[in-house]
Amino acid sequence: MDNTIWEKNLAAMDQQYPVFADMLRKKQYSEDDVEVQVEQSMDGEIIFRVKKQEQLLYLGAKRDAKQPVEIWEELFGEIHKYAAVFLFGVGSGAYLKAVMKNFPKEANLIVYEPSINIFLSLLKEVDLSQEIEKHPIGFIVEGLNETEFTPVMRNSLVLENFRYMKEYVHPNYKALFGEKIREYVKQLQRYMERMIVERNTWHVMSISTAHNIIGNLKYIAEGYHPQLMVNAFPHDGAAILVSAGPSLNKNIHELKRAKNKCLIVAVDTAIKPLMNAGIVPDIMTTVDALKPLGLVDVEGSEQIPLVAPPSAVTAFVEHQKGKKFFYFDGHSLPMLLYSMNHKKFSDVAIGGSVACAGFSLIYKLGFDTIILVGQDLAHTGNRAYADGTFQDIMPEEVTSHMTMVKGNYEEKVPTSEDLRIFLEWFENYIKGMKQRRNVTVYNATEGGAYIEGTEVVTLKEILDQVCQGEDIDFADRIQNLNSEFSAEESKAAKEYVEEIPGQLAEIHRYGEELRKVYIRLQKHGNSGNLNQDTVGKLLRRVKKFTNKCMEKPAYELIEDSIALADSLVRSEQFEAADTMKDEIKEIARKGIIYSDLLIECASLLEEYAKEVLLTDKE
Amino acid sequence: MEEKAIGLFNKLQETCVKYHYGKIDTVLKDAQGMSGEIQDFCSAFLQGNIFGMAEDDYQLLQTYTLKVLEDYIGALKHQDTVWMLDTLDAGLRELLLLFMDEKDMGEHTNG
Repeated sequence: MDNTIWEKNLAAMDQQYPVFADMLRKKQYSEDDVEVQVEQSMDGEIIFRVKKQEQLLYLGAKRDAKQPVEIWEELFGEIHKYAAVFLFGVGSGAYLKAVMKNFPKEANLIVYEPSINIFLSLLKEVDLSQEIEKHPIGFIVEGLNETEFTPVMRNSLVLENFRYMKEYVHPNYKALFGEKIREYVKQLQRYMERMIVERNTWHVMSISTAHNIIGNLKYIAEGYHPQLMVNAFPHDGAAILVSAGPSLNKNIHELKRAKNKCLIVAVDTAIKPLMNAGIVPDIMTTVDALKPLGLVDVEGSEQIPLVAPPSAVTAFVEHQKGKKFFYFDGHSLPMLLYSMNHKKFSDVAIGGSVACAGFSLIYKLGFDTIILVGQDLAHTGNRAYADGTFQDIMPEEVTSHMTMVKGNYEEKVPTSEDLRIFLEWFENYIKGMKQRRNVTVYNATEGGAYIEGTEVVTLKEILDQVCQGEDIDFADRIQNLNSEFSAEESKAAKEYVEEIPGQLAEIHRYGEELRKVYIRLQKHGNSGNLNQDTVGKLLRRVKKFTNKCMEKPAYELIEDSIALADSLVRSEQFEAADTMKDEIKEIARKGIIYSDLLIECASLLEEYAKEVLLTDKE
Repeated sequence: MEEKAIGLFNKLQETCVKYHYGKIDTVLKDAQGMSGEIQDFCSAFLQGNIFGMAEDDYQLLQTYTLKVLEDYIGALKHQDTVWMLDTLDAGLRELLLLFMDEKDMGEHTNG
């Protein structure tokens, strides 16, 4: 045993979870009957061979230990930044090290190890200090802290990140610790199922994106995207991004003189305070799929041109009577309207918040002088937003649990986890911008967090510099822009949009067929006589109807909405793996849940699509 | 020998692809099913230097073959999927490749 490795690993744990490291030092665990033999593979890797009662099994390959892990790593694929990843079994740490290589810092990694002896051997033999220091790993070890599995699982997995969940059972762990692994995988799957069947939440959260895209399609078909504005104004001036951070209260009055001197882009939350201060921004941006319309419910705001992704709240889009510019946000159905006309659908980096999108928009419009206002990225004065946004006077909040970061004017300011992520996004984006162009970003937020790469100035100072020269009527120039589409192209796009309800109806019909096949499969699984040919035939029909659904472009809308069900069906077929018959029954059971949701979702979206896309026609 | 190697290679390939890409673990069952062919193929290396190799090289090949067979039997005895997969994918595969050229491998490269 190498004490150095043990100490290094524990020292790394001290930084992330000292209580856990202490429990290991004080031996607050009960050892099990597993014996671990440490060997070296022919390609130089440390591998474990484990003896448990009569079983003696390798946890890593003797000849080529690296190759299976490399293949697995490639197939495991990219991990979403908000993902929860569950590894069942840690072995000699090869899979853990592989998954940690490009692990996003916002994602959660939970490692369940059913044997304390394997875990102790790992910490003694394999240096994991870099991985542990890089990212907190949720180690759950039987005999040490197994009771934490449920709370950790519930904290890591929420409705919004279910679709990004990934799980993996380490090779040979099913053979060695089948019962224990099954117990935890089953708990995870049951938790997912419960979330899926809690329809109310599902309806509210998951279907909103699809609803918005359907509702916005007819506007997207008009052919306006942000790139059209690039040549509409000179770029030697400045553009101002107005966000709704609490510091906006301090200098909002200054913005009046920026009108027609600088392009003023405002995030949706800043519209009310701006309009109430007599400032009409040139562009409004919004991104969220769920946001109250009350934020922009102020007289005159409806004339402000809107820049949004296709998934933005349709009520917002409809509220705006000026030009509506949409950009590519990863959904291929809206992009199809452009590609069918051989046109490019321009994009904007969303970055997780409306302010990130607004900032990227200004950069992409070609401005090299960007001024940030109300971009606190912190709870300045213990407030989340400027007054006049969600409430006339925003209340003070408790910020004692928040992270403290360097401030623009104060030494440290409190910031929440999501704002800290956006802060990092701004810093990285600015770094990238500066590598490509000579861009200067002035942070005229008179409070809040310091953003690396910006120059901190007062709004008065910077407006004195940039508000020179002739007036430019930005609003008028935007209003006079022509569409990317000719009249014929726009007509073709609109005709395609009218096909969407029909596509959803077909998916609905295939969903019904799919359900019938799963029911037949279930009946066959329940019968005493399992026939492989019948099973093969039924599974081929499942594939046929699934493919028929998936080849319709409108399936993307459903896929978004039933991502939870989809991930459940694709998750490890584990708990019923004892016999072929049980496995078939489990496939059928999950398939029925999936097809029920598919049918329900297709039906709801079909009705909605008919209502919003065909009403004018009827 | 070439024909035997190709036949065995294709079976081995199917097992490995199923395991890695399809998450279908039939490694031990498939390996058991290949036992006759594996014995038949490997015994050719152990019946004397019929390939006209240099004696030292032949000794190495013989030792390697014996090690593959030993691992195959050990993995089967212990019902060890990890061991068996490594024996087939990294051990036996090398022997099979001695009798194959690129076209025989088709699209299937290692893994």
